[in-house]
Amino acid sequence: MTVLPVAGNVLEALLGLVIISDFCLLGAERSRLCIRLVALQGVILGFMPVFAAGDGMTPWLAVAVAVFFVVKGGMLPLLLWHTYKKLHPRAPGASYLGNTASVLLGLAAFAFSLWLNSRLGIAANPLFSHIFPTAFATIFSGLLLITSRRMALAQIFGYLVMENGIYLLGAPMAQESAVWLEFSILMDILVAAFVMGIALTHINRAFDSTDVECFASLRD
Amino acid sequence: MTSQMIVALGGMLLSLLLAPLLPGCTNRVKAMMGGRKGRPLLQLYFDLCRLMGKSPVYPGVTTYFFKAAPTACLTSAVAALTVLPFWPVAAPANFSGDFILLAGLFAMSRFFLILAALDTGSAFEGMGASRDALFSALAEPIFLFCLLLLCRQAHSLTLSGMTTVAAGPAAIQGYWMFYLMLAFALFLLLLQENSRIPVDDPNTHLELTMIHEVMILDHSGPDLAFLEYAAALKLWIFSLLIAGLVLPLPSVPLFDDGGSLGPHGLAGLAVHWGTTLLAIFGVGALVGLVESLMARLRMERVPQVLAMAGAFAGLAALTLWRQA
Repeated sequence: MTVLPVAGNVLEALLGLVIISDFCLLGAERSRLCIRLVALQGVILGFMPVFAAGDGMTPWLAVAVAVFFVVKGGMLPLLLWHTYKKLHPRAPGASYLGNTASVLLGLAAFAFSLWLNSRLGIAANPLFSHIFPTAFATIFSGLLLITSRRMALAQIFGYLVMENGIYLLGAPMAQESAVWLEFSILMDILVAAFVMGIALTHINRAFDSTDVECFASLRD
Repeated sequence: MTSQMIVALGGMLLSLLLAPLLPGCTNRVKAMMGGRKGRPLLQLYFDLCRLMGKSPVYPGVTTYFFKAAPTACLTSAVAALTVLPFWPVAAPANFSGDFILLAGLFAMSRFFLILAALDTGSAFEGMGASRDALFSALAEPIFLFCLLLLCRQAHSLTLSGMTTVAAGPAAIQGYWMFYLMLAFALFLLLLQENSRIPVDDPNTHLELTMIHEVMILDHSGPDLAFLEYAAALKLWIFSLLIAGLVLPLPSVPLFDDGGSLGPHGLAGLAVHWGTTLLAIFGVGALVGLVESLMARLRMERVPQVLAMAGAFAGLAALTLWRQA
């Protein structure tokens, strides 16, 4: 599998945008900005099967790209937006670590993923070694968002970002049969985001907050 | 004088003439985003003409520094233009290590502005000077780091060699991620160095929240015109630097063997200059877009923007290491 020079440049730019959105998510506090960034990431990732397919693009794969594009770039952010509108979060989603420390940890994760990529030495699939550092840094950013954010909604962003990283990691190997597997995972994620949105609305209604710090101090 | 030098000086003249149009472009985008008609595009030209026709008024307590600052700021901005290449030819003053001069000229301009602000003895201007000194001290190392990364990538110690001016798009083949990260870091520095939202609001007149505007409150007449023009030139220089980094244009030989500009060279030059100007105004429009979509940050949050710029410069360094 080879990446054409022009496609390679576009892929470089898209991967750069994914990393930029990761870092903006780590540094952002406002939920609205986070939702926009998750949507941007979804739109970019929707194009990934095109690069994976190279010149072997089939109509089925084109349909898959369209579905990924709509679900990741449209439906999931819309669900998040719907949940956000219902929650009316009073305080922005502050981080336990502080935003600067989160961004620096993200930088360290990217450095580590570059080092890991050089140690893994996956020469059989050049596209994989091209994408791996960005994918790994995205997974780490998602994990960091889940573990370091106080607001439950921000943790859903982390869950989606982590899933985006896993998807990116799988994109170079997405042959036609593997795309169906990605489809099923994507549908699971969609349902999970839907359920989490409903759960958050109920939690907010019952406890008047979605700050996970408050859950620790619950008493009978 | 060679044709190349004439073209380089022509580019510089174009910069001097069009720089006041850039804030107009930013303001127009902001007005459009807000659903307003907005100020005329040439508003800054009108303001500069009006101010030049007035007599300056100096506070009684001020000394020589207060009077010297506007001239020093404008001179530094014009001197900075001489080392910055205007695509596709090298800068008029082009020597090894000129990028350090660029950073030094910005620092000198800031030094004089801070001195002038402190010279007035006003508490507000002192506060603005203190803020400017703090944020610049954080931004300068990042700016120099970005330029050093460019040096490393282009294997050149001149600004003309660092930007794609000499090598054309071949230089950025396979380095898209690096240039994207660097452009993003420089864009954040542009917002800080030019006191734009989210770091500072150029339209605010509440002294407690201002950085740049509060420092020039006591200047008037031609002095204020010099400072406004110098600020427009600084915005132009940063935009030109970013535009020079990310322009994926094929490089066309403009000069024939005798070193003169042929008819094809003239057409090529027109295309290159047109595209460069479009890119510069594109950066200006992007600044307007950011200012429309974001609110100004609280003062204690501003270092986070600079940390973000530093992080993107770090990412650029890592991507460069990956490619090496």
